[in-house]
Amino acid sequence: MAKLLEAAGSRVLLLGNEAIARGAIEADVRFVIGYPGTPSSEILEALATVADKLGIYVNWAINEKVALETAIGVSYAGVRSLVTMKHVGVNVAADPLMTLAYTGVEGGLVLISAGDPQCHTSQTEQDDRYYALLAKIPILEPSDPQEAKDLTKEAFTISEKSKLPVILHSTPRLGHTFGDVTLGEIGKVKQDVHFKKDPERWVCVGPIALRRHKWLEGRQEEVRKLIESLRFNKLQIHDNVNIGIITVGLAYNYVLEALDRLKMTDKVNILKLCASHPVAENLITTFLEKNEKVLVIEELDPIVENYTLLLAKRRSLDTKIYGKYDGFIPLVGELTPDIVTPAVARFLGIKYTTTEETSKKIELPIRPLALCAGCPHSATYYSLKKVLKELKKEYIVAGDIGCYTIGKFPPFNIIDTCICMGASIGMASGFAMVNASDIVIGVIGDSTFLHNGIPPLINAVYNDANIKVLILDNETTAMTGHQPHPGVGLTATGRKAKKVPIEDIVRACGVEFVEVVDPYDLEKTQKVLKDAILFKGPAVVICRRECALMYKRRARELNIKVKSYVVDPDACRGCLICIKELGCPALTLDIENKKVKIESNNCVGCGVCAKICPFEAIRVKGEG
Amino acid sequence: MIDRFNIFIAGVGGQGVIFASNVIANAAIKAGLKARIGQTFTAAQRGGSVSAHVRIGEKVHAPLMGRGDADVLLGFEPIEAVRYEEYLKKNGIVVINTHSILPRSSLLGQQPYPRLNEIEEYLRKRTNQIIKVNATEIAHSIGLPIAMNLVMLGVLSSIKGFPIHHTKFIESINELLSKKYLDLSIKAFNAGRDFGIKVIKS
Repeated sequence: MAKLLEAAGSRVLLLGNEAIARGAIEADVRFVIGYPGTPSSEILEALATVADKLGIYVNWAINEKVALETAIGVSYAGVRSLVTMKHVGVNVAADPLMTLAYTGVEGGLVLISAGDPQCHTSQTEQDDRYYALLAKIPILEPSDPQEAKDLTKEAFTISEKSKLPVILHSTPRLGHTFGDVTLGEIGKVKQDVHFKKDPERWVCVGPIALRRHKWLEGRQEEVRKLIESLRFNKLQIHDNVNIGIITVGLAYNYVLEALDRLKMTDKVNILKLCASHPVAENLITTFLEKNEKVLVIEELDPIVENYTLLLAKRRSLDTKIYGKYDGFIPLVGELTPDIVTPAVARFLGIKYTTTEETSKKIELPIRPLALCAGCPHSATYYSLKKVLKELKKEYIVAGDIGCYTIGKFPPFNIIDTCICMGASIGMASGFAMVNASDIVIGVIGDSTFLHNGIPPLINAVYNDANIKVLILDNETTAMTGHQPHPGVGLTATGRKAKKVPIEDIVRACGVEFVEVVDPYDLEKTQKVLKDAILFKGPAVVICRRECALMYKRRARELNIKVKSYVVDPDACRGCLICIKELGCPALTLDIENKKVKIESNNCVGCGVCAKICPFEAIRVKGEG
Repeated sequence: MIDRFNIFIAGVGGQGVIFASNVIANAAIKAGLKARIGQTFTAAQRGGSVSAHVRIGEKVHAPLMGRGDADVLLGFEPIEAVRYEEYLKKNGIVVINTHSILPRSSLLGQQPYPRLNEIEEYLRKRTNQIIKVNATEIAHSIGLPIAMNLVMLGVLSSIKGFPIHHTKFIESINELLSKKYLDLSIKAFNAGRDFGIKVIKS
């Protein structure tokens, strides 16, 4: 990652997440920890590539709560730390975060919360900015990759000046946007490792907690002034213009382009904010005084808008304020030019229509998400469905968060629920405890099991819940881009770490039926699954096989020859069982003769399709 | 200096949409232009529809373009071009890779895959500038099937008035790809470019 270390003044193309990483480097961060989660993962991954060179400690934690707690220790000891996670990860880390706001920090602590308006890759699009309001700590909202870098650096300064943790809010449209970024100096900040014992501050209980709360409330005005003074807030007032737009973060760009499109750039005032908490009160007041009507544009919930309405009331200003409550800006989904431009046009009383589809679209087949070619989860689901069919009983399959959630789609259609990390096991227990007649299964991945699956498993044993847990272990955190975890025994920087075998954990939880199978071995997998289901009490089957994408990458790097399969067109009868029941993306159809074909580029040689073909028409390429 | 030039890339997970968008934006920066790419990683590896908004120019701020903004629509797969057709400017340019990837539902005959001439006829309602190229076949013939995306970029670079010089593309590819596949990749790009020059002339 040479770009990350280029000299100050260079202009380079960076992903928003890389820009955040560079900002942390410029702030001389010494400790980086997080849990993978789209769209945040590339920040830590980028830093891992330069960790050794810069002497930064970079590694993944088992979950977001542990990540933050570790960083709190680092901060108390006077060292700068960065913690990365997605918005729902902050739910997991919320417990320590709230208390941290009371004790405050020593070394700057910056928490990246990567939201997901539009639920691109998440179970909710919760407006994570509320965490800053809840904890009463600052939240910064960069508008582009350049600001992502600059504000990350600034966040460390703000954290140390205010003695508070600082949240930097990202979204896919920031973290996953490439933009040109001008780099700053790679900083050197004096950081002495020294934990100063002070139980009256650090032991946050009872009367101490109450005193610390008072301290926190007392910080608010100073912090607000600090935020208000940042150059990233921009007040753009034109002569003789008395209408304006208030916006925060990324939405600013849509506003600029909307005004340009509507040829109204010089006719509308803009207040662009870089934080939705604490809010720049004086800037907003000035802006309200200068304008007769104002439109507030922000993504998801009306946080800045609410504050603006409140300020108008408190300062007795009669500026008309529009936004979410008037239906100008939606509460649901991410902002796009096709939402912002019409909203601005309506606010300005200009007629504007966006381009629509030419005419009624020709009907297009949908392309649902599919498990990759050779995915071991496909083999597991194939076997599970087969066994469940044989047992002829009703069943419930509680799902979890990871690639295997794709089992909800065809051809498997087997996942019944998805709530949050680790929920499969807890929910399965609930189902099993009220419904003794159905087979109840929880499906969870390896990384997800380590993240939050252990307590519910112990709880299932403790409550003797008759659940069957399938740990789909592909030896990586696949969905977010193949990050290692303790079950793999590697760190984020590729160092060897002590491996924590999942089967040892499961046994230590008190589970009596524990088996490890290779999902490519269909026969054995089906036998073990059946035994597990017939076993009375909690049973765990670990279906272990390296992620097919990782295998392919490894094979390419090490020049390992990947086996590939071919269909014998004379033997294939076109029954399409392989496509119907396995749905491997390497399987396609020869449209001419209606026989199955295997795309050799895609095939990873798992051989599962060959095993399920009733006519033995699929063979290893170059054999038989 | 150009104000705004928008390229919309539509394809299927695994086709290299994201990489192609990076090559363009990196080339733009090398040409001294401002660039933004908005993209969705969700389905990048998993067979879903994937799209990227590549935006170049001084007046580019947002990561996403609006409907009707794209000067060029690059369809790495025919129906994916249709799926995002409303992003194309009236009479903008469409470049389509004619090699189709049939979704499972079409393989099983549950949802018919439209014929190529239907697709073309439909796109003609918005534009007459349609360039068809079997980029997959060209990449195969070069011996690097995954370089289909670079064949498409070669065609893109040949479009009249395209704001980035093709040598900047080569520089960009040089920087972003490992040595192992570099020669064939550049060959793929040039093959696309030659194809484009020929088609656009005729």
